[in-house]
Amino acid sequence: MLVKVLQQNIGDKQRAMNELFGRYSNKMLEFFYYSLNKDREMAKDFTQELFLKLVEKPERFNLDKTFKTWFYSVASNMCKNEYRKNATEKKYTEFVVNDNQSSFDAGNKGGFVINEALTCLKPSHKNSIILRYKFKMSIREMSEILDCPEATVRSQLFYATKELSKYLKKEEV
Amino acid sequence: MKNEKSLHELIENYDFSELSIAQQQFILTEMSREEYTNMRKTIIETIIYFDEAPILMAEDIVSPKVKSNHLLLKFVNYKIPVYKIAALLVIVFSIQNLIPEEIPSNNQVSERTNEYIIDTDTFLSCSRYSSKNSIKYDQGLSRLVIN
Repeated sequence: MLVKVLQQNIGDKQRAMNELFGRYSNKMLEFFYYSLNKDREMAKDFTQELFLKLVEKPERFNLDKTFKTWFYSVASNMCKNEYRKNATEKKYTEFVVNDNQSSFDAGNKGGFVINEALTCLKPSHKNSIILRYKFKMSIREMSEILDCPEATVRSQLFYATKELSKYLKKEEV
Repeated sequence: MKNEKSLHELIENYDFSELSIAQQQFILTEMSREEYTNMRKTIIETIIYFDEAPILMAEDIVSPKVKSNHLLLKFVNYKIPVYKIAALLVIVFSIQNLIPEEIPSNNQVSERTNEYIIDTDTFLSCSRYSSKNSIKYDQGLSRLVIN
């Protein structure tokens, strides 16, 4: 297990780190990108910071979880802290336009509306939607990442979908 | 909570028409058919939105360098902040000033030989040098011997 190489003083640590980076860097960048309302620069900073955390404190890895769920839960907590820091969340309800992805949205009205609707969701609801439909996580994995019971995850998904649906319907009218 | 759990599973997986009559009845106790259809449509559109979005590449992010855990390297790479060095210097100098320069040991004291000063000057001889009999009365002090 690669993270064990980082935790214990065995094997080529740099190689293990590079391997983990190769596997997860794009995914984590996307996770931050969607969670932080498409702020690409901030997503890059957060991804870099996440991997630095892994290098500096690999002992924090919880052996009860799989590396994937643990890593996503650290990333999710970083987003929560960021939301808390900007308590008003105003910053994250503004749609970041100057991005490649936005040009994709502009040519795709449905995508544009969904993106706008996502920015209006509560952070916890938005995270649920991203983890479930972007990263195709199972309910069990989500409950580990979000650190709540499976029933709560399902309930969050239900209400998030309901909110999204309301927003989309309003836009259609 | 239980209803929401089951509801969401059904919405994710089945169209309303694909549900059994019992399931449809259960759904209709919670929401209208239109609401169910809208929520299912939303989920499908969201999945399509994420699937069609271009994949982001972490091109300009670099894999962090892992520091070795070797004790010697740790020691060499250890960086002391400037304020700690300054504080250390202050402590060293103040301790140096507190310590007296030389403390004679007990041995040195014991090795020292006593010197006896024998002064034969008397009160009378002192009066010799005093001007105009300033010391008038000789009280009979014989000798002053200083040991």
